[in-house]
Amino acid sequence: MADSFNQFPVRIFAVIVLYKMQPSESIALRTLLAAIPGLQSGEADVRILLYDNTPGGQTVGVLPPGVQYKANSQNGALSAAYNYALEIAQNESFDWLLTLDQDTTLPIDFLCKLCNAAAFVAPMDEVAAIAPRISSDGRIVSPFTLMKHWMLLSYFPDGFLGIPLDNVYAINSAFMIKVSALKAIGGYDPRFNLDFCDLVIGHRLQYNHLRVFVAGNIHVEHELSVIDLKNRVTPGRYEDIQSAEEAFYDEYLGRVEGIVLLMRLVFRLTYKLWRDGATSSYFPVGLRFLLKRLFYSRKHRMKSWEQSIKGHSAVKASL
Amino acid sequence: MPERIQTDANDRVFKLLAVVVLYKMKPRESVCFNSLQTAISNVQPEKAEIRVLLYDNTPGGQDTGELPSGVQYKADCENGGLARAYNYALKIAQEDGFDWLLTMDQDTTLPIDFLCKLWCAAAFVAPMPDVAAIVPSISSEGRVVSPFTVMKYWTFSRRIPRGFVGIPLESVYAANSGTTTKVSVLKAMGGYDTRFRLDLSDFVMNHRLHCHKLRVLVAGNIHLEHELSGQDLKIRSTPGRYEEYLHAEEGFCDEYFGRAVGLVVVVKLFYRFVYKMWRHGGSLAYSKIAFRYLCRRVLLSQKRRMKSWKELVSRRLVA
Repeated sequence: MADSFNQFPVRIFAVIVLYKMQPSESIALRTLLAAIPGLQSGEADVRILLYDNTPGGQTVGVLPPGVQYKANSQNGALSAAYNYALEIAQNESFDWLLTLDQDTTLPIDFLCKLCNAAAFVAPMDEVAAIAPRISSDGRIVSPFTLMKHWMLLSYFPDGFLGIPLDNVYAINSAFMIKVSALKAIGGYDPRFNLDFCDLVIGHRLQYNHLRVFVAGNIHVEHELSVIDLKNRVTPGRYEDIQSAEEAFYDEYLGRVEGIVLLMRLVFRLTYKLWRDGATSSYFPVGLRFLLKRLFYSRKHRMKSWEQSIKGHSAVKASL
Repeated sequence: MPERIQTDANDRVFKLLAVVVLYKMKPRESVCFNSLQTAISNVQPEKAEIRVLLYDNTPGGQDTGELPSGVQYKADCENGGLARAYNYALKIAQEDGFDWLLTMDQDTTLPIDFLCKLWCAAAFVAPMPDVAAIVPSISSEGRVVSPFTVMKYWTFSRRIPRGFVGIPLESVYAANSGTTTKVSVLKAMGGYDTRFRLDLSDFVMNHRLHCHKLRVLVAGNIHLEHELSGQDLKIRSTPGRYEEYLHAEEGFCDEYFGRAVGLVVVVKLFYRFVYKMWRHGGSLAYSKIAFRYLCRRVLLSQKRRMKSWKELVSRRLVA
């Protein structure tokens, strides 16, 4: 139809989540601002929201013009930040929500290429999101597809551009999703407030038969802390990740995937932790989650996870 | 930052020359021409500059009757085949500043939103210098026939599934009809190879694109219905046409590929002679032709075959 022609400008609401970092120090904000002048006139309407999760708040100084700021001194983590941004994006009729972590480096032509992809997929109702190629320390980390029963993961090759028929999962940073689609799938799950919130979104998109455009021509560099267990993941964080993983499998996946996770936990405990140079404090965490999966029912695990979420929320509210 | 010319994104005009090749058919009887006219009426005139060229290969010419305004007509009473028609269109496209050339057969049915979707795809790939063409998904009698990828040494072909939209990393081959190619790319490659006047002219063009490391956007969101004359031997092909096809195939393999592909062709010819002829209901005349080409490949040297093919091409050109 005539109205399916590309409509400019592409209206993007970008949210950058800060944590114990000044806006001026955030490479994501700096590179995003640097990418804006590269846009053609009338190509895009970009607004930026800085969502500051620094506990206790911080003084941010003067912000660049047009940048909105919201402090959440209770650290509502990612899902609260994204859902807050989603509300604004919807109220102000933005078409796309771009989610960014503070430590993502965007190329100078990021917005040009992203707008080009957005204009292309905008008339396709079944396409809900755009996932650029993300690498961390020279290694591709996103997007990827998962084989049947989540047994194996395979990354899309460098340069692949398109809308695969397979399921597509991508990390949050530099991921851009249609506001209407995100609203339709219920936004970000607040129970997965940090770890696995990207996989939950990916899963909900697949469940609703929505597809993801893999923008292999957009290369983004991101520091993915979870792949550096030794230096960047404390035993406490490791426990949070394990807990989110357990809950994700119990909440969204079936029995066969549960068995796959069990095998993965065994592999992690017997080989991967050792290979990654983990200290002895990580092994009890790994063992505990393996035993939980072996000896506790799904119902029991879910109950204890929901109680722990409530406990966390109560602690934050009391602060 | 690369220097960019500041133009308004909404001012981009889709400049397309569409060539429909007629053969023993009046323009008003061509389903392609009629559906193209309908698709044009569905496009906002300020967004696109679309011109239609009817290239009539009817031997001896024909009375076309009154043509819709803006439609260009060219009669080639000698029936120069597809390659000559496309090269003629390419010349006009270049002289008149068109960016894209859409090639079509008379018996392709276009959907009403064909040009709108094509425009979106063209706008998407326009800034990508490594993408040369856009190919839709083509079905014939309910079966996807184009585009497809071929495995190493042309052993097997794999149809790209319906609904896939993207730029695969593999070599993509597609039928001429419905293919839209950048005029600049066609010109840089010297246009269509006139030695392949009809059969395999699409394969030759695709192969040359891949040799130049140029990629193709598979627009699986655009579905065309097309009658492939070579598919049903009994109803739509003649022994003469079949021989012409086998000759073009022989020329294509000898010209562009090595010994390994040659061996694969021997196996394919044998399979065709023994099984496929019987399955498609080919008569003795077809079997004789297939057998002759099988013997040629087994008994004659590549040099000899090439020589005879070149002589045939020269004779045709002189005629």
